Amino acid sequence: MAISEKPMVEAELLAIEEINRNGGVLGHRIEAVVADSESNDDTAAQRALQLIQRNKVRTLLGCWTSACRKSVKPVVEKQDSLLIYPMAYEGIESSPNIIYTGAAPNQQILPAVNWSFENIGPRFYLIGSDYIWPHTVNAIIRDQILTLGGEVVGETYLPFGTLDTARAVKDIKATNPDVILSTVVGSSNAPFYRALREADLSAQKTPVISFSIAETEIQSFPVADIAGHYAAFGYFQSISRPTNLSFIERFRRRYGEERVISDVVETAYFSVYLWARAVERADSFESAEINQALLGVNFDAPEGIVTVDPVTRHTWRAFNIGQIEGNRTLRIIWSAEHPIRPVPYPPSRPADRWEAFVADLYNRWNHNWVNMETAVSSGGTP
Amino acid sequence: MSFGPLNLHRRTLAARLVFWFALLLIVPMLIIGHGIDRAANRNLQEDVLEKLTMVARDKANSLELLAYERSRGATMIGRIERLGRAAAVLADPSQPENERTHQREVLSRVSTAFASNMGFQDVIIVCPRGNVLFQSQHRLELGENLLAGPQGNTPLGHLARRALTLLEADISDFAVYPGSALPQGFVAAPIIRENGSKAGLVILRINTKDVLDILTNYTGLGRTGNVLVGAIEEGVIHIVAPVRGQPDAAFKLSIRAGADYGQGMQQAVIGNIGRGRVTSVIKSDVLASWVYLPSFRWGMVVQQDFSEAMAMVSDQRIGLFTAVLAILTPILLIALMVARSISGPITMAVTAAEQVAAGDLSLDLAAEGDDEPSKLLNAIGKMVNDLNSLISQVQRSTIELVSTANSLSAMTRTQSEEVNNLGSTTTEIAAATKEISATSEELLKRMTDISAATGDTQALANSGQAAIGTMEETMRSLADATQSISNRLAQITRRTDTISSVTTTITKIADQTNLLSLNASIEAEKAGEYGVGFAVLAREIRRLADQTAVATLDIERMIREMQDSVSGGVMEMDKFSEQVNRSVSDTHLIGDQFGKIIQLVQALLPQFEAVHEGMRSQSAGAREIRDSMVSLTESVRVSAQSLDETRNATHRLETAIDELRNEIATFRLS
Repeated sequence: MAISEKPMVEAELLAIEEINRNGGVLGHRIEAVVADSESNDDTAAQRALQLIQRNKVRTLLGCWTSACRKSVKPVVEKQDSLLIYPMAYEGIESSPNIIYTGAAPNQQILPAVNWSFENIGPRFYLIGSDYIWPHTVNAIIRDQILTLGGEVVGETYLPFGTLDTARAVKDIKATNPDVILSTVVGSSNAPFYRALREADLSAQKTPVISFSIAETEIQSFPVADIAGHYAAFGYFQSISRPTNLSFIERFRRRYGEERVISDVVETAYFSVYLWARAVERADSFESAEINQALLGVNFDAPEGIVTVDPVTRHTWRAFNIGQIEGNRTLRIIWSAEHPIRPVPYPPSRPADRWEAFVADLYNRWNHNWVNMETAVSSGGTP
Repeated sequence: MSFGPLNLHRRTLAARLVFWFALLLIVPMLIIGHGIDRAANRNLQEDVLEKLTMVARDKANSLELLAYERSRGATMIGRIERLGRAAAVLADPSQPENERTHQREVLSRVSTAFASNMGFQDVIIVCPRGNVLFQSQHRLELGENLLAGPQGNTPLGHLARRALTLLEADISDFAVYPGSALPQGFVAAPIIRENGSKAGLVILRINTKDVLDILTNYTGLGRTGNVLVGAIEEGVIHIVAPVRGQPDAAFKLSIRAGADYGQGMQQAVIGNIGRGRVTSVIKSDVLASWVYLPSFRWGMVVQQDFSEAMAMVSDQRIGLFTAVLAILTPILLIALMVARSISGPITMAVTAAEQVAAGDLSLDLAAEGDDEPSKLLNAIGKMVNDLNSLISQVQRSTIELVSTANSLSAMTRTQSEEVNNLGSTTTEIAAATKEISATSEELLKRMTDISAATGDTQALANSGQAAIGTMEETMRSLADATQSISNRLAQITRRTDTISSVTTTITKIADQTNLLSLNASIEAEKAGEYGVGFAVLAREIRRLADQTAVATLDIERMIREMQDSVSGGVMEMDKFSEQVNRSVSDTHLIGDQFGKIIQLVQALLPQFEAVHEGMRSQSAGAREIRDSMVSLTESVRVSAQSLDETRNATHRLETAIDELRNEIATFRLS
């Protein structure tokens, strides 16, 4: 389990503990069975099958990367089980056996692009890690920049897991964009931000808007490298709602006062509550019944009221843009007032064309969700 | 206890019978009725809540579907190229006026063709910066720029601002705008051209009637059913649509979050689903089910007045009550009749008994009939007759009794005095006897102690004698053992003497051998070189003889040492033997002395036994005397007591006779 995935499991266990302390669901205690996919997509699929068949698990809650989800999807579909996926992702997917509680592109990517077009500038540089999520996200971003009348001055993919970002940064410096939209994941981030600073691309001059790093990740980065850059998510720890303050307090009391909470942690937390409400509503522990009852269920989550949209099986989510402060917190500088309806298939292209685009990447990478030709090592994030 | 019907012993028999009949009927009926009522209540409440939840869910689905359809519709309208082109032309000030007019007509046609078909009313088109390009009906004052104009801070203005940033279809909050009593909501979607660029925003007014049709459809909700929708803003929940019976409630009715009523609405607006019995926003006691509508950000409560919901149960309650009354009346009447038939003769009997009690035995009772009350009356009649004759008899006997009692009384007095005298004498004797008894018992106890002590002494002496016997035995075997050791030692001395003589013989042989070998060597010297070998031989023999002599000397020395030790041992043994013998004779002496002691003690024991026996019998005698005295005293006391009692009895007898005489005097005999 990668370090960044651990808080997600912790948040789920916290929610389960809380629900059990309040009498469980339908008078039963919830029991969590934790399986480690070891950041390997095939292992993830195997473990998912084991959990369903051997451990009789009725609902799976997890997967971090899109690659993981794409591997587990056929398993839950074949077993007619249920997966709740709590990660902001690229969209362009729907499954009768998955509930997506993370943000769809229109709840994270598109508003961030629009906001930076209006507030920073029209010239964009797109950089990502070389796998399914950044490629898809950047395709969506390109459509949106076209709509806005902006310009993409460069698009680069770093090998999955690389620490060498020098060439990409050199290219950025050469093209001189107004803003960098980053879908760089995992360990490549620290050297990427450092290289930017060393290349004199300051946050004031050329800010990065990241769709990948949040509170959890930036705790280990030097402040000088990251202060002033942005991140776009549904949840930031600095949201001042009373529900959030109480959630932070409970999380820290359970796991330590120094802990920070990021979007995926909060998503994992409220996902458990949505599930519990669905079970109560279904009055059953059968996957199919819960699956049906989840549609339309809502919860007053730390970020705001979240609702599972019955049409798209995705979740109504809040949206915020945060700027990294000197104390490694994210100050919210723009907020979408109220939750946004999920639109998993961006309307810039028909759904079948988006699906063809994704399938094309998969085939081009020899039936992988990561470009293994460039990948340095496994173990990343979104 | 003097309250109500429980004060039964004061009531008449008829009243009691009726009361118990009624009680036995009413209590079970009430218990059964209450049980049925409660179960029905619970079931009905659950059924009503289930029904309300179904209605709420149905309405929520309809409203969410409506929102989804309107959003999709707006998105599609935003992608109509004709509309995009028109917006682009209108936004471009350099376009000629006739072209602008033409495009306005195009927009009018598009509005009519699409918007009204898709459930929209007004169509407003603004450029990406918010300038108003087109408005299908000029009902709402927008100003030149929507964001900066009079609607800039209304939900419509917020909608435009948000949709321009999100570039996505979105629904505004509902609000009341000038010119219309009903609240209104808008959908906005970006206008995207075929080449993918944005050309502005299309804003469509949702037909409020479509929403209200869903909300104000009270089918299945009865007479008091109601549907409330509210939105929370800074801690205040506003009701945003008309309420049944209050058509102007929208934005006039509100409650504060945390109020002690409208709990369902307070839960619903923060995204909680639920149901139960609550006080509604309009402060009525209701059963309610509530949900949250994400598209409108509304909480919705579907409710029905508790009284109406539970009307079926109250009907049932009235029915039950009527049934109880209907059954109760005839049963009480029957109870009354039965009670009367029993209580009539009994009342007669009671009157007769009361007359008898008053002493009037002159009445004549007789009843016809075979039931228990008639038998009772006849029995009372017979009893009165019997009493009549009995009392006459008693009157006669009383007079005789009086004289007997008087003489008895005199006799008793004399007897009593005598007994009292006897009593004091007996008490004195008893005291003396008790003292004797105590003394002899004390003596007996002492004798028993001495006898036991003597027994112990004898036992001790016996065991001592036995121990000394054992000791003597041991001493004797010790003396025997010593003797046998002495004998052995003497034998060893004899043997060593024999060895000494043998060694002397050996010494002699060795000396002779030595001499022989010396001679042989001289002879060998003489024989010269022929005697060389022999000389060697002779030398060896002499050496052997020397060795023998040395060895013999060693043996002699050893034997001497041994003889010394043995003779020392013999002396020690002799000394020891003597001591043992002396101890044996001492022990024997002690044994004899013990024997004598035992004989003496044994001789003493039978004497003690005899004394003891005497004491015992004396003590028993004393005790017997004492016991006899006690019982004698007791008899005297009893006699005195019985005399007292006799005296008392005689006195009571006299009193009784007096009373009897008085009583009999009250009877009027027939």
